Amino acid sequence: MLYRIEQDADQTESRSELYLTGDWHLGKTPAASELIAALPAQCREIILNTGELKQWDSSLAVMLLQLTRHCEQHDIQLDLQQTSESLRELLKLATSIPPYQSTEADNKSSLRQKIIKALRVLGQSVEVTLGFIGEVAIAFGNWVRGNAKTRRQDILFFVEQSGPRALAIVTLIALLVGMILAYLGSVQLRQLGAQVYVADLVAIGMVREMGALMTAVIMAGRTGAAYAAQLGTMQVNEEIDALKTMGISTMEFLVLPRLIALVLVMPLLCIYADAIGIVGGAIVATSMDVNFLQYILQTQGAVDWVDISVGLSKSIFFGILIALAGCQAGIYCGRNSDAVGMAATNAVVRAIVYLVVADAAFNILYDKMGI
Amino acid sequence: MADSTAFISVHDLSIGYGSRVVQEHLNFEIQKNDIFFIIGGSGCGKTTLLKHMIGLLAPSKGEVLYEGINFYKSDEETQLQLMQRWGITYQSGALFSSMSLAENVALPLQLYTDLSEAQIAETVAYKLALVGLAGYEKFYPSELSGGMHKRAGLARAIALDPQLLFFDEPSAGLDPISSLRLDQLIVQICKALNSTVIIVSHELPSILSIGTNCVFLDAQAKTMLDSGDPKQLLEHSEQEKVRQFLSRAGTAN
Repeated sequence: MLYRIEQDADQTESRSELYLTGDWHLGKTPAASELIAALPAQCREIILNTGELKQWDSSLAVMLLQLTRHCEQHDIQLDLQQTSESLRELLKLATSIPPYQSTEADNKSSLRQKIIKALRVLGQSVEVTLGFIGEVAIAFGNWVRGNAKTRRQDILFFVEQSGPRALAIVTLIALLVGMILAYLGSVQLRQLGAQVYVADLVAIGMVREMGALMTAVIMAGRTGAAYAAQLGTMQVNEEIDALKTMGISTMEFLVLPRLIALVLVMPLLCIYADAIGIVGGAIVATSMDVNFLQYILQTQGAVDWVDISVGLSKSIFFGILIALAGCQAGIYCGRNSDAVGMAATNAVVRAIVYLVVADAAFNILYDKMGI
Repeated sequence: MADSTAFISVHDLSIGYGSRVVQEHLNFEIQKNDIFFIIGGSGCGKTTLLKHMIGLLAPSKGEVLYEGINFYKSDEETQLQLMQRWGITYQSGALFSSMSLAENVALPLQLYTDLSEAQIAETVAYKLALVGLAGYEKFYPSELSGGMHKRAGLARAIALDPQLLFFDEPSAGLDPISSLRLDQLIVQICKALNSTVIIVSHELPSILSIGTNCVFLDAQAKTMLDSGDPKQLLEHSEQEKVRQFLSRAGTAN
């Protein structure tokens, strides 16, 4: 036992003496609630005595603070005259500033309120996204007219970051996608004895669809996430605040260079991916049923400029979507390290949803237009 | 030559980043219950010295002994045991932003003690009250001001009643009253918990009022100019620069 409670014999039981004894070390002491429960119910005055106390650490002060608060709440007098001075000093420091009182109303809300709140949040995010697109469009207009604070070296920097440095991963993925398409086609077309059309399948598949989509998915994961993390960290470091107070538009200075760089780079990467994909297809097809010359001739016949421009138009649009998703997540990032991680996740998830929806829309549109 | 009674002794320490040497030939000793200041002009390597003392940067030369144990030559387990007895507060608090204040302060208690949840909650409430943040348990660091970050960082540092407390610029960015309160707090904790305190600072009022020992680093000489009780150094240091610094070039006091 590290404490002892003695009643004043001659009086009624309203006054108790609380003796603290022995060594008080963190983890080996009674909880304050236990001590409080041991006090007599009708106790109105407590005299604390630490004369028999040996060594102690803050566990004693923890208990004392709880006891003080309990006494305040229940109108009990606490006499600390017979305690050590340093303990009193520590207690004085802990109680000199009153506890913060929460002013917020109770957070409990009904299901209906929750649904309304969720809908409102969704509405706000749509509003924010539209507003962001609008601001980027205005900034772009300024840039075209030549009076935006966009620096050319920034654009070149981001072109280098997102273009040449992404070539290795684009090569790998495009080659494999081309090979997969060729395998898939060969197995199916062999049943019809039309193996030579593997070349058409790979060429059309890569040029109209997979080249643009696969590079976009790579760039969403690689560059979109990087944009969100860069801008998010700038938000955390107050760099974005610094730009705003210098009168520099974050849209023109931060978002536009990234957007323009992606729009310039995406079609180039897309063409490159198309070519690599066709090479991948050729590797598989020539190892199976088709000879190389046949494959080349068949590819030439299958693809025309319309197909290429379909792919390119998609890739440019995908570039815009990736940059918008990444930059928006970064610019509206919260102010702590957790928020930066969330912004990066958000950027990739949004970009991929945008990409797939946009790709489907493009295909329906081109089908209706007959190209 | 190692004085066996010294709590911490630093022998011929060279500090720096990679091949860039910031300070060399540092020799000083810290006794138990000292409030020890690392002082010097901006950019002289005060924080770098602190980082070498708390195990974040290994020195290129020399040694740091804690009660005779060479930290950087010890095995991982000994290092961990030493580090559990330290409390460190960083310049801007370094609170974990994904955790509430209560969770921040509770983390060392949960990991290194076997207190019950209720006792942890009580201890957290006390530590936060001690630094003047009672009632802020549920707040996240992003909802608090810079000064509050600092104080919450201190609450986390003293969670385990450390024997050795390190402060990196504790009162920078605090108002004079809060700064005074922090000084009182440091003295009280030092006395009540029997701990030793090491502070990087250039707040003259703090240095002169609570400091019992200090080392003065100089950026030009790339070494320490003097060490000892700051009040003594103010009057009797043989180095002009140290007297100038402590008297604010003769204008203060």
